[in-house]
Amino acid sequence: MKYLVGVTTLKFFPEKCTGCGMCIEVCPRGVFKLQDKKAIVTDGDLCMECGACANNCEFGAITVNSGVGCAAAIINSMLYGGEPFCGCSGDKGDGCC
Amino acid sequence: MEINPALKKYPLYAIIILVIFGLKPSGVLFRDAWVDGMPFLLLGLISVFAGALVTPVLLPFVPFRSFALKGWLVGLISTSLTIRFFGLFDGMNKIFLIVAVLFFPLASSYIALQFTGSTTFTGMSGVKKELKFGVPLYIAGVILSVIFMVIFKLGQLGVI
Repeated sequence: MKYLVGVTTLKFFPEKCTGCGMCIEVCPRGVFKLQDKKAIVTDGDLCMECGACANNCEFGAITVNSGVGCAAAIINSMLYGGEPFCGCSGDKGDGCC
Repeated sequence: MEINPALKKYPLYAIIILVIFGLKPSGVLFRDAWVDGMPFLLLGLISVFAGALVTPVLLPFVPFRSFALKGWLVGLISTSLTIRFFGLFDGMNKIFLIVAVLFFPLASSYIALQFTGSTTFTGMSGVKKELKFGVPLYIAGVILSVIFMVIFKLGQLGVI
């Protein structure tokens, strides 16, 4: 399934891409694929902004404003400040459940 | 929001509804509270299940990509069917019908929006966009519903 169109903060800089394929390996949504020895974005709207690609790209070819796509977490961050986090395992932002 | 957290807030909602409907010049009458408040208690439960159960179960089949819109649509259908099936507001003040159709689909929408935390395809930017449009509507819906209920209550108490 696909969520809202045209909202993702995913940015890909092809000039920095070396075609290592790490983003393709770690992306759970199949956003990237390899073409002519470089990664390309197949459909940015598939991105759930988990940040795995940007975290694993050694060459800085990908940026994304990652965070939890959870309304309760975002409402809490609006009310009490700070970054949205799940907090369902008492981790207070160290990770998501 | 799963069913359990939503239902934990239900007793508070029920108390508010029973007090609103039971409040009379002579005090809080429990018979009036129960009889007049029953449709709102039932619709409250229906809106929780519409948002927390029916919307997630039917997620791929409900139109719209927005969870808030999905929840609102399922809430509107559930509320309308419940009102029609049980004849909830037959012979009662029309203001109840207006409040019910305004408030309960919005409640379902809000609860359905919480399900964004349980999916594998929703992102933070999308949820923020939904909240940017949704939260003002939720607040406006609640304020309007309260205003309508206050108008009804003041009329019932003979103040206006």
